[in-house]
Amino acid sequence: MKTTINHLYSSILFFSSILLLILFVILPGCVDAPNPIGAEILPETDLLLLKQDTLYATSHETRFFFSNNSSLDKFCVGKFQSYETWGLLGFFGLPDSLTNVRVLNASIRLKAAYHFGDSASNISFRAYRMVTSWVGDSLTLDSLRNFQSNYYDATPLQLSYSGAIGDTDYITIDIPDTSIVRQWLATVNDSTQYNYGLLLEPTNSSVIMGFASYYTLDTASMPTLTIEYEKDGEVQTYVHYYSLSRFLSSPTPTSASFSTIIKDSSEFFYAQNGIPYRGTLTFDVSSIPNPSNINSGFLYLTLEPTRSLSNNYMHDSVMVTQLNSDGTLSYPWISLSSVTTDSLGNRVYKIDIKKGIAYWIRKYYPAQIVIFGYGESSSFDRFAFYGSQASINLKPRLEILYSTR
Amino acid sequence: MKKTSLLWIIGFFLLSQNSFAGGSSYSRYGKGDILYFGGSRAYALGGCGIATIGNNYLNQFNPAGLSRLLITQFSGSFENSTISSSTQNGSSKYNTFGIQSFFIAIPISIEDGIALSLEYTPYSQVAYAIRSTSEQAGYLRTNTFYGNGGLATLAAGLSLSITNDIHIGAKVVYDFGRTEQYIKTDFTNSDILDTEIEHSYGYHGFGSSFGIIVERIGKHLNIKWLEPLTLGLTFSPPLSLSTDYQAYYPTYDTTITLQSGYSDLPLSFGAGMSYNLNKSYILVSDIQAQQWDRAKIFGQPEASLRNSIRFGIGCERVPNRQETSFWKRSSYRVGAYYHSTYYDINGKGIDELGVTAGIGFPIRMLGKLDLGFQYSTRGVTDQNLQKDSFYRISLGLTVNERWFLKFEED
Repeated sequence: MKTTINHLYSSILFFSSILLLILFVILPGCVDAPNPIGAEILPETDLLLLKQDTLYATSHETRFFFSNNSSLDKFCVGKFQSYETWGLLGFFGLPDSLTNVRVLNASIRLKAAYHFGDSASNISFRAYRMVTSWVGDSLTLDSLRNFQSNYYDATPLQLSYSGAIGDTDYITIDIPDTSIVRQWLATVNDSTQYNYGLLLEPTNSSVIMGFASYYTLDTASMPTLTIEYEKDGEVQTYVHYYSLSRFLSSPTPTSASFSTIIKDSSEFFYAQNGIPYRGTLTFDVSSIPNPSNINSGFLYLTLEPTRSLSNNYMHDSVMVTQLNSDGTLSYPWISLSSVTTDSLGNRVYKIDIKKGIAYWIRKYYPAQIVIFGYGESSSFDRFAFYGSQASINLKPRLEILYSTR
Repeated sequence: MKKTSLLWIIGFFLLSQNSFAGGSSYSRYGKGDILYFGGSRAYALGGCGIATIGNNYLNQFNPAGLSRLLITQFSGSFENSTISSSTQNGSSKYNTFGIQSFFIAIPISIEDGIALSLEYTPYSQVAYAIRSTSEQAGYLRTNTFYGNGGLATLAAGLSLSITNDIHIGAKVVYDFGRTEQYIKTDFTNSDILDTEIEHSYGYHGFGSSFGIIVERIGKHLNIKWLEPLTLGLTFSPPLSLSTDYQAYYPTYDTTITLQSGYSDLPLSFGAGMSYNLNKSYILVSDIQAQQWDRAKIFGQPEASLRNSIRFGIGCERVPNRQETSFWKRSSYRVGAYYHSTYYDINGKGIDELGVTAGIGFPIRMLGKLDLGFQYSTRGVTDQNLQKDSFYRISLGLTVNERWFLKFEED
């Protein structure tokens, strides 16, 4: 039996070796890369059919969207036209080594980083002591105004500023009544928190100023709290850098024009930075077959310049993302605009949203988008776009290139 | 010995690496290239074997052909196929390597000719890799097509001898598999997203196949010179395969079923003869036909198909089975075939003409090793068609084993 198996094994090896030698003669020259040979054999229908379609927005809207800007590199305060912005600034994490010192002087230094409105006009604001935390997401300027006692002490502090500020100026705001600073220092270790920072209410009317926050990349631009104190008979200075800040904006309560512009226009929709308001558009993509591959899909939005507002700090771009059917955002995709000019000289924003369209035709998401400014959280520019009721040359449109079989 | 083993292992590995490749564009149509495999012996005999029966032979065409089996046999076959395709614009060469069949036949009752068989046999193969350029709506693009996949058959068969000369058999078959076409479109314009889609058809379904073999025809007809003649018939009723048509979008990782329903594997019919000239020679001839022109998929006629007919002849010589000489006990085979394939492309039927040869080497006590060669050409370069030249090599190993049978002790 063993001899037989050896015979079988030898036979297999012998003949397989012959086979391999033959194959090695044949195999050289074989290709595995695709090539044009036989292309004519394939039916025309195997080629993906490329189709183009233009779809226009069926409806538009402008909506308020809550935005938390507390981790931004700037915070703002001021008023301009129909916009009003209140600043919140808190110096936290003060050292317990200064608990019992005698405070001689205190001041806050801020560095200008942005303006919206008339940069030459005065900015003025007064300060209040906040009595509760303000880092939560749901805080709005309206809630601050309407429920004042829940948020801040209505008695203004002896801490204010008034004057024109250059675009890169530092300003120093003295705190003549140092009692609030003393209280901050004295209660560092208390279980009941006293230091909730400051609320800065604008009292000017022609400019909104932005100041560098703790999150600015330039350490020298951070807000600082400087405390001059006496300890053991020696006068010393302490500079505190760590702070939190944010700003709350809304239309001024008396501004009817804002409501008129933002909410009541049937011909336009808006992306209003700072507050913020965002534009929404709805499309009907049922004419695009499912399945198909979306090869390109561009959204074109035409700007109406007289209703738009901008300044030299403007991020001249808008962003677009998915709007869910319940009005929330889930960001399955997000796109940034580029800008072109149409034959009539209009400024046209072009946004690549092919990923979104691919989701729509597969019915993963509704064919709805939201448009917002690239600098939504850090500026107050306003983009006014022609809406779904505008003439066909101006209304929002999707130019789609897709392939199907 | 060790060096030879190493060569064999390395060679097998290299061949496996080449197993992915392009192939003939004709396989884009229907179910792909239909693989007619009736066993390693038939492979070298022009693909003929419907009427072949013997006590040491696995007939994979005709289930009745197992009736004279004396001992359990396992068989495994592999094929390397090199294809040279040419058109009026150029030529290209491809290589594929794959399993031809695994087959086991177990005699249950030698007296009654009852034998059971189980087999796995690829039924069809799709393999092509094509790149072309085209322009549509002002967009220039490169289109890449990869075809792959195919159908395979799992079958269980049973044979029975009605008389000493008349044998019948039947198979239950399960056909299954998926044929795929991957398409990638690359645009020269970088603003446009390239497209990838994989279309595929998945098939599965049960069917049947029947066969009969009648030996010594001359004896029954009282014609002496026809006594060595054996006739065989096979018949497979049409079969409806459950079929789904899917599109997979790699970009979105999404699979969509576009259509579900049925497709046909049509009626097929085969007739064969074998004639023992003397103890050394056997002549065989087969004709096989399949009614593809009425085949439908999802209720619609399958495009570019016609009825197929395959005709083959073959001759085998075994110099002397009783000799101790290894070479005299070996089988020497030649054959030829003409195949009017089921492809009907651009209004022209695609025909194949081939010659075959092979040797069957006996392995003492254990079985045999079959080596087969085929060379064939298919199609023409006119009418935007292509001509394929096939160089095929098959290696089959059959091993005997005693199962279930009781042998009287001396």
